[in-house]
Order: sequence, then structure tokens, then C-alpha cells
Amino acid sequence: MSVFDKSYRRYKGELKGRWFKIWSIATTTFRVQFSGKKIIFLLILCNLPMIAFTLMIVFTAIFFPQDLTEMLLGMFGTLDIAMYTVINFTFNAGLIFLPIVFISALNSGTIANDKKHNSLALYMAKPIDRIDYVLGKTISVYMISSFVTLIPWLMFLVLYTLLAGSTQIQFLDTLWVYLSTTGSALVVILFLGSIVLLFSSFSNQSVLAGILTIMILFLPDILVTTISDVLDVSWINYLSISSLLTSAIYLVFGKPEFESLFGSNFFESDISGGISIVILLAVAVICILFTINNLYKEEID
Amino acid sequence: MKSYFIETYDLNKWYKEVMALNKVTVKIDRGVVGLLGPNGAGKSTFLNIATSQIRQSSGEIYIEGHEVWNNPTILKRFGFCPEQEKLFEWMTGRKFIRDLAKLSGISREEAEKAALTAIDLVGMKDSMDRAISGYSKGMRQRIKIAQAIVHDPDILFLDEPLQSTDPLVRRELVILIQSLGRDFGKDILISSHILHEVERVTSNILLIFAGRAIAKGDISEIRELMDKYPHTIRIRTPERKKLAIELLDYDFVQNIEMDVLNKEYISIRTAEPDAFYCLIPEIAIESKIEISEMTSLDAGLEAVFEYLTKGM
Repeated sequence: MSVFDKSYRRYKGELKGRWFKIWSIATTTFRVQFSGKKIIFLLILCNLPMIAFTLMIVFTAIFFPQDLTEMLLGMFGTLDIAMYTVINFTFNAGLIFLPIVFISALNSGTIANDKKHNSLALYMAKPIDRIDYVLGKTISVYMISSFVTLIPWLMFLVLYTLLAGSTQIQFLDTLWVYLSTTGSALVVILFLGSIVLLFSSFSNQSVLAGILTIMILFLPDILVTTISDVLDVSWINYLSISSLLTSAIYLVFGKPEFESLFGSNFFESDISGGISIVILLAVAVICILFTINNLYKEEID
Repeated sequence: MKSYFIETYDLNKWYKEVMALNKVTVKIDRGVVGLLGPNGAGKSTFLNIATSQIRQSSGEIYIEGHEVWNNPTILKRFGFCPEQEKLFEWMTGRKFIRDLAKLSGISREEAEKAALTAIDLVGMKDSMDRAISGYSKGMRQRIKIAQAIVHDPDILFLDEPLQSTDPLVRRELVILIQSLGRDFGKDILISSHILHEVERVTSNILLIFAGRAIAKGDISEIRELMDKYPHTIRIRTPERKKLAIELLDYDFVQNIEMDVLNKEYISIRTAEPDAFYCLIPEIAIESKIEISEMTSLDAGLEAVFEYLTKGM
């Protein structure tokens, strides 16, 4: 009696190359990490500032008279000022906590869970090497991180442009704001995503990896706040992650000017945006290299 | 120059102070080869090095003349069925094979088709849309074999592929592996700690014990040694009393022992394992006894290895 079909049929199709496999790792990981109702709740929670801004604009545009709408939206300034304010608000007002929690919580299991469940053996049983594996995981982390950065920011911009009747925004005239926003988001995603990926490769406990990531991202800020009371030097801000991020984004946005009530430029940063970008990207690259190194050291049972 | 299936020169692997492989130097001809050794002998380490899962501490290894570590040219010709039990538990069998097919380089459109073909081949069609977390050990073995062959590799490494499968599935898998080697010309390295399993697939074996390659060649000599030792086989069945009654009719069954703790397990001691392995599928079919798992405890093999390594 035959239990099952033994007639082996050869696979005659073409086998794709390296990048296809890397993309497959990325999409598989993305699906695994980004599923469940809790994730949707967390996503909404982390985008609350963005959602509040967006609702405020829509509400104003729909329900308020035209002249009042123009006046209220005018308070935001030009589109670049409005967008920069939104991003700045996210990273320089204590609300940095929200995207960091989201990025850490969702991505801390990216490699840690594979180590915990010994799934690495299954990946490595396929014709991929450890660099491919790390690249696939990195892309997945960046994709997930974009849900609290690039995607809501671009949606905000699109909405602002769609409400052209009230906001007086022309898409082609403000194309550079889209590019600046994308550039800013990429800096944030590369930096935060790479750090969380590194910590995920250290441990097989995703919760521990998440806590370590959050601590490493917050401790410098706390340290800077403490030290700056004693030591009055501007370079100390290079140690603060929120200062690094805001100064980098300030540069990417072409150093927008917005006068505060006291007459000074409200957005002006103490540290150089260029140096901040170099530091952030260097940290991102180092984290990826360390992650690859960790994976090469990993023994499969 | 002749290229062997596997060539190793002074291959060593240490896990801290533990030496998993000790100066293994072998040249194995192409075809279906059994890697035989008791538990902890270094079989999985050997397979993991051969498939670039881990790197050797020292020495060299070549598969069909190619270095394997981080060499995608040779890796894409590999299919590997690892020993580990844990899979992507949350996925269904179909998704698991489809996603791993994509990691082998099969396009998104073709992956679904190729996955279905591989699943069909190992008889998992009825269970393919169930989550892997609900699979039995035998089903996991089959789904692992499906992922190893889904992209039609030239070279197959199967780490204990028959472990924990029921007798009927075991028979079918043996026929499948034989066919892959004989009819499709694949080079296959199949590891096992059970001589009789390997013997049914190939007569060409490499013996490994305590991290050392101790013999290579035809299975018949070790076979004779093995027969001197009784063999214990553990079977999982909901009808163990019925099975015990059936087995009592045969002289080669020396002893039957019911597991006290687990009411589904029964251990059978036999002097003629060959006859037993041939008989058990027939009993299962004729008496309609469901056998969900069969494992050889095979303590005798270790005794044989100790005998072989005396004076080494």
C-alpha cells in the first residue's frame, strides 16, 4: 500500500539571485513582526501626535470659515516650517519616547526570536549566507520603522497638499519639502533601526533586547541633561540623541527660520547638523557591521 | 582530477573544551552515503560544517571539489534537512515551504506551485493548511524533507530524516530517498544512529564515533557485528495491548515492555531487527493498528562502536 505520492518531479524553473532571497527574508520577517491587534494599537499610540496634528488641520479646513482657516493654518508658517515643527515636536519634546518604543518593541525580536527558536538553522539551511540574512532583517526593521516616521510624515504632507484650497500649498513648489521629509525619515530610520537590530542580535530574549535598546537611547539624554547643569559647553549635546536627530533634521530642512516670541530663531540648534548626520550614519553602519559579526560568531546547535 | 562527493582533511571542531570532530580525513565517492554513529558522535556537527551552517575550527572540507563556507555557488545546489525539531511554529506547512522555497531562489509565482509539489511528495497535502505547532514529530520530519527538496537540489544532506516517523511513512521516505539517489542521480548524505535505517537506503557508509571517522565502505561487515546485539524499539500507539498480542506470535520478539508513565508507548526487544522492521508495517496495515511514532533506542550500536574502536 502506498501512503503517499513518490513520483518526484523536478523543479524546472529558474532560481533567482541573491537580492531576491534577501527581499524574501525581509518580507517574511516583516509579516511575522507586524501581525496582531496589539501592533495596530501600538502603531496608533505612537502616531498620536501625528494623528492629532492631521485631525486638527482637517477639522479646521472643513468646519471653519475660509479666512479663519487661513489665519489658523498660517500660524504653522510655510509648509516646510509646518513639517519641520511636526518632526521636531516628535523628537525634541519628550515624545521621542513613542517612536523609540514602537521601533524597539516591534523590532527587538527580529533576530532574538530566531535565536530563541533556533530558526537560524532553517535560514542557514538555504543557500544564503549570514550577510544576506542580516541585510534581509535590516530591510525588515527599516520597513517597520517607517510606519512611525516616513509614512505618517508623508501622509501629513499629502494631506496638507490636498487641502490646497485652505492651505494654499502647490505640490510642485513644495517638492523639496517632500524630499527633506524623506531624507529626515531615512536618517531616523537608519539610526534607530540599526541600533535595535544590533541589540536584537546580542540576546535570544526579545524583551531584554528591547529594554536594552530603549535604555541605550535614553541614557545619553539623561546624562547630557545632568552634565550640562555643571558643564556649560555646546559639544556635550553631541551625546544627546534627540539633539543629534533634531540638528540633523534642521540641516536637511535647509535651516528653517521661525521667530519665537523672544525674537530668536525657535529652531536653531547648538550643534552642527552635518556632524550630527555623520555621527548618526556612522553609528548605523557600525551597528550593522557588529550585527554581521555577531551572526558569524553564532554557533548553530 | 576526480572530484569526490565529500573530501575532508584533518577536519576539527571544538565547542569550547569539547571536541566534536577530531581530525576527520575522508574521501567519499558520489552517490547515496550513510553517516552512521551513535548519539553525540559528531554526525550533526559534520553535516552542519558540510552545509556551511558552522565553520570548522581547523582543517578543510570540499563538497564536489568546492569549498563550502560562504560559497553561494555550491550552496544553491544543496538541500538540507536539519535535525532540529522547532520550525516556524506559527506558520502553516504550506506557507513554511513556500517561504523557504523563496529563500532557495524560487520566484513568488513558482514558489506556491513548487511547495505544493514537494508537500504532495511527502504526503502532507491533507495537513498543509494546519499550523506547524500542531504537527506530530513525524509530520515535522516530512515537512523538513519537503523544504529540503523543494528547489530540486543536486546534493542532499539529511540529518536523521527518519527519526520518529511511523513505519508506513518511514517505508515511503526510504523509497523516496532511494529514488532520489538512484533515478535522479542526486548525491545524498543521510545521517542516522540506526544501522537498519541506513542499510535500507544505502550500503555505502561512513562510521563516525566520538568525533572520529572510524570506517568507511560497505555496510555488510558492521551488519554482522550488529546482529550479535539485541535491539530495542520504542513504539507509540493508542492500541499497544493489541500490538503486543500480535507481536507475541513471533519468535524473534524477545521481550515486550509497556511504558508505565506514558500509556501510549511500548518497548520491544528483538534479536532480529531486520525481520522486525519488515514485519511492523504489515502488522499495522493488516491489524489496523495506528502507529504514530517508532524510535530505535539502539544501544547495541554503541557497543559495536566501542568494539570497533578498541585498540585505536
